[in-house]
Amino acid sequence: MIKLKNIHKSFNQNKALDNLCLEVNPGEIYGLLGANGAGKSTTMNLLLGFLQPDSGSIEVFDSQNNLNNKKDKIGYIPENVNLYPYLSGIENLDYFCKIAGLKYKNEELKELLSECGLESDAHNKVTSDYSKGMRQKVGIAIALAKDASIYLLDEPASGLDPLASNELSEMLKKLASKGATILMASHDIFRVRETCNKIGILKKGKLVNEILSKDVSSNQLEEIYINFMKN
Amino acid sequence: MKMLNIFLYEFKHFIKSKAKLFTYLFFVLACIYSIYNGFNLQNNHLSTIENIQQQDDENISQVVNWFKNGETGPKDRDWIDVTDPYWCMRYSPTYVVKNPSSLLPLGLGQSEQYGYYKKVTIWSSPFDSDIVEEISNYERLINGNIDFSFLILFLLPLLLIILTYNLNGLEKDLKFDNLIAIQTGNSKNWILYRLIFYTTLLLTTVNALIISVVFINNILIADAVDLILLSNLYIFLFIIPFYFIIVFSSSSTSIAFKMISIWLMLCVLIPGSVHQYVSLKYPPNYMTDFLDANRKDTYAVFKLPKEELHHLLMGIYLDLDTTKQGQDSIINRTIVRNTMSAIVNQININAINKIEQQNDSKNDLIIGSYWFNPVSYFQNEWNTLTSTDYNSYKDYRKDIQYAVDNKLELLTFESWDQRKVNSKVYDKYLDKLKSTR
Amino acid sequence: MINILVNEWKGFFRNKLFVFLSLFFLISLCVVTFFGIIQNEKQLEEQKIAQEHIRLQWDQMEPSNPHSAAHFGSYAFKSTSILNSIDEGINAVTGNVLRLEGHKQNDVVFSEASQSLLISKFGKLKPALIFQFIIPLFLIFFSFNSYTSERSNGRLKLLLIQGASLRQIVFSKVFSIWVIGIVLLLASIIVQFVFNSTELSSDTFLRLILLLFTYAIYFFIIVTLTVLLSVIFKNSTAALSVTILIWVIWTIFLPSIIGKTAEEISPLPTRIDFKESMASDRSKGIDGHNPRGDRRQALEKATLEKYNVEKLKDLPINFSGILMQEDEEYGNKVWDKHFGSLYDQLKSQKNIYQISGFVNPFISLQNLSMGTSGTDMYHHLDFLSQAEKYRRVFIKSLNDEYAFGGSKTGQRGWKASNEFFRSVKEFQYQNPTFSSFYSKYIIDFLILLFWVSMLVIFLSFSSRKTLDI
Repeated sequence: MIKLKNIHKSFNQNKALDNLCLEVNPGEIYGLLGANGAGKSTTMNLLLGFLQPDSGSIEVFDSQNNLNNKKDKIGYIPENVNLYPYLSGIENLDYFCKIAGLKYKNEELKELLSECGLESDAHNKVTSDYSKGMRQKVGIAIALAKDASIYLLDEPASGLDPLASNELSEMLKKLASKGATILMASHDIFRVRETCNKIGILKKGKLVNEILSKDVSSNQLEEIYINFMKN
Repeated sequence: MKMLNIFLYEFKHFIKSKAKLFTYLFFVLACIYSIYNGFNLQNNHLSTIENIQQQDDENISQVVNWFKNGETGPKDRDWIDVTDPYWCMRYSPTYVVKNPSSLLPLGLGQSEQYGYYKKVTIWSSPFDSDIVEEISNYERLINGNIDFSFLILFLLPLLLIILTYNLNGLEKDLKFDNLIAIQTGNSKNWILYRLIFYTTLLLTTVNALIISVVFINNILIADAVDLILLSNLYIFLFIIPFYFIIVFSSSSTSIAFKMISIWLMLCVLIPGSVHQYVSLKYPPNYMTDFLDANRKDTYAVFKLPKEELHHLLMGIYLDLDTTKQGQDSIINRTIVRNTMSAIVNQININAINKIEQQNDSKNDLIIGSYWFNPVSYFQNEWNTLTSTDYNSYKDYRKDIQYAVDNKLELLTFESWDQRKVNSKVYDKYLDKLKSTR
Repeated sequence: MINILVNEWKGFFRNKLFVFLSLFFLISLCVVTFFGIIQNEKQLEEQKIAQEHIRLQWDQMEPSNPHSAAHFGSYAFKSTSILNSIDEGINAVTGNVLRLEGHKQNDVVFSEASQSLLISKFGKLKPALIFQFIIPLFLIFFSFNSYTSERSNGRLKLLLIQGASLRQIVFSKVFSIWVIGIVLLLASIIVQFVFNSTELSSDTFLRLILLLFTYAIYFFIIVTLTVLLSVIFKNSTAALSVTILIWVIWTIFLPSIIGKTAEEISPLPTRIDFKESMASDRSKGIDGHNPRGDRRQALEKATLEKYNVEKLKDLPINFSGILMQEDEEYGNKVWDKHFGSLYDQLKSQKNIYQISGFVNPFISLQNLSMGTSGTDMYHHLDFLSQAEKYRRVFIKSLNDEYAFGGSKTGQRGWKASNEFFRSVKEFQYQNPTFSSFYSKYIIDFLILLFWVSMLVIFLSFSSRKTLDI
């Protein structure tokens, strides 16, 4: 589980997060919506341990403010999953597993890639020839290989074609059904509505609203979002 | 285990990067070429020295033959009489050579600035114009030789830059450094392990090349240990700042820029500034003290009356009073004049000492800069190990001076004893002349 | 194009690192040039003191036999040109002192490099070191992503839509960065003008202008090449890697390799072989100190016939002086033959080296920089040749005095007066004008211009071809 309590974070004089409280439970996919500069990436970086809050507490799993020894259970999928362009998909996955101290056999790696939807004939191609969606799948495979219980996704659907985007949603739902805690930051109202159970709207570092996606349609969600942004 | 995996996987990264692989192989080939060049130079020195020694032997056997045939010298120069120690010495030119170190193929150092063979006569000094360096193209000299030490001291850091500038830089450029950080838990260690791979690669390469020369030249490995340690330490001189640059930079361009700046500072700017400063403080010496000794003072000696020469020589060699001439109340002008070069030698020695002192103060200034000018330190240490530094040639100059002193002492005592040289005496002369410092 | 240029400069001057480095180099260059001038003046002063010291000894010579005076001899001290303060060239490795005496031609000895431990492999910190090694890197770092960054952030499309041609954009990039290099060059040249104003002759002025042009052309080559690679490669990192690799190969690697290759193609004799073959030729002449040689007998006969006397002692002149001069003339022929072929070998090596500028323009830059500064091999050979010419005149005047100054054959004790010795002119090295050497450097200029043309053509072509923006 992820729990952010009264988080404040400023850069110079600019408030990036202002008393942010947020909770994501196991089996839940939480969508964080917000404009550019709303604080989505800062939230992600705090959870990843790349930034420290000025005040407030962060609970990941059951420990407070100490993410370093928990990183092996966090899967992270950035907006652009860039990989070593001169290595193949399977070599990239192998490398990322190895630097995390994980050992998989070649067959197991192939299975992981296939499970994430990467066609088997692409496994051995160098990733410089991959589309963004294909790289994203390798990225998910990297997270899956860690057997992570928490997944942090930063704009994962950005630039993906509709089919790839849909495949990503399905994959995340599958992970959540297995008990994973997933936090996803995005601009894409439709994709967030389709994928997530709970949606938070972030504005100027403040969580201005929380909605259960089953309670709203995509159009209603868009209307709510625009209203918050305008006011 | 994790460390080992990162380390081993780096090999894959390395061979997948054609530019890195090509540069590395290019460097190794350049090293092999430089060692080959070093061997060539070593062989040239050795064969020149062999020729010189052969020539020396021929001269000796010519004198031996004169003794055997009851002749006193060349037939067309009947004023020459080798039974007189003076002429005998003139016909016994002794070469003093500086044998190349067996590690010479690994570094030519300053060898191209100095001569390595010198014909020693009773008028010689270690600063004579015939001990000038080998004939070579000055414009090539300023560009330096592609010798092994040049490759290690100046090109190896550049190779290291090419091999490592995108460690963590590529990940930052392509913005997956966060992914790496989340995977590794501690990206500083990940960088360290990757860097250890390149360090190991370079250490292995350099050591293997040095050891190959050790085997080819039949050197004891113990003799090359210092060189191995020095080269390995030098690699760390760059690896350590490079590690911090990699950790704290934001892109591969920034890493490359900082690494190249470090290289420029250490290899070009700091030594260049020290060089300029030293030159300002100690401008090139026109050696007027030595020129005066060699010319004005020498000519003054020529003009001295025999009594004065006699007195001066007695002052140089206190035991001369035990010789026949020393005890004779009548001064033999020929004997005294034939041995007056010993007085000139003393004048030369005084002038040379001054020059050496000036050079030593210059060197002290250079040595004093080592703490902020490490590349010059490594360069000169390297040259010391391959016996091609200033001090090795200073030692060689001492050898020459010893040979001159030795020859003059022999000449003076034998002349003053009015010895008649025959083949047996000549053999003794040869034994004495061949003795070394 | 002007607008793009101005925009580029705005970008540069808003980049703190760029401003810092530019100022750093500007100040460094001024300081380095200034210290170069001071060091040069100090060296010239030392040279002057040494020359005066030696001359004083000559002027104070007591009445002596002219032949003894020929053995006493004189010294030529290598002087440096004013522009040695910019580029020292080969001066640190050549000898500085040449003994000039009768019967033998000596080697120039006591190089600065032999007087201490090794300090810098790339020479002293003089403007040439900064211009050749550092400024090009600085220009590379500020131009390697000039095109790729425009392409990757999409600004290129915007500029094209606004009506600028790709060629205009690309060349604006080149010029904007090149001008920075020119400013740095000018700073150093101005310092040189200000602090050397009293020493500046029209020749030095010409040399400075040519030096400025040379470096300006080289900087243009560096910037154009970097921008060209930036156009060719899709990403900045690849462009930077390749440019740096080229810089290393050009600046560090090839000069040594090509120098070594030139020495192998046109090998020089070892000193011992050279001396031996000279000695062997020399022994075929008259030995002034050996009364029995055949040639001597022939000269003796000819002289007796000329003066129509039967015995040497009846000659109105001193035969020994004639003999010594004849010996000298023969020695000069031997010198001309051997040193002539040695210098030819050196020149042929230089030609090979110059031609290699086609693969490495750094070599042409280095040649021109040393050439215009008066510190290259041609200038050194000129010093040696002027010194040898002086030696010949010097020794001839002593031999003539010996022969025709009033003594007769056999009067070994005869002495020339102090006035005579004082009347012998001292060696004054005349720094050659650039115009006397210009033909030797045309090839280097042409090669640099060749590089400029080729790169401009390639860049024009690439910027027309690169449509995958």
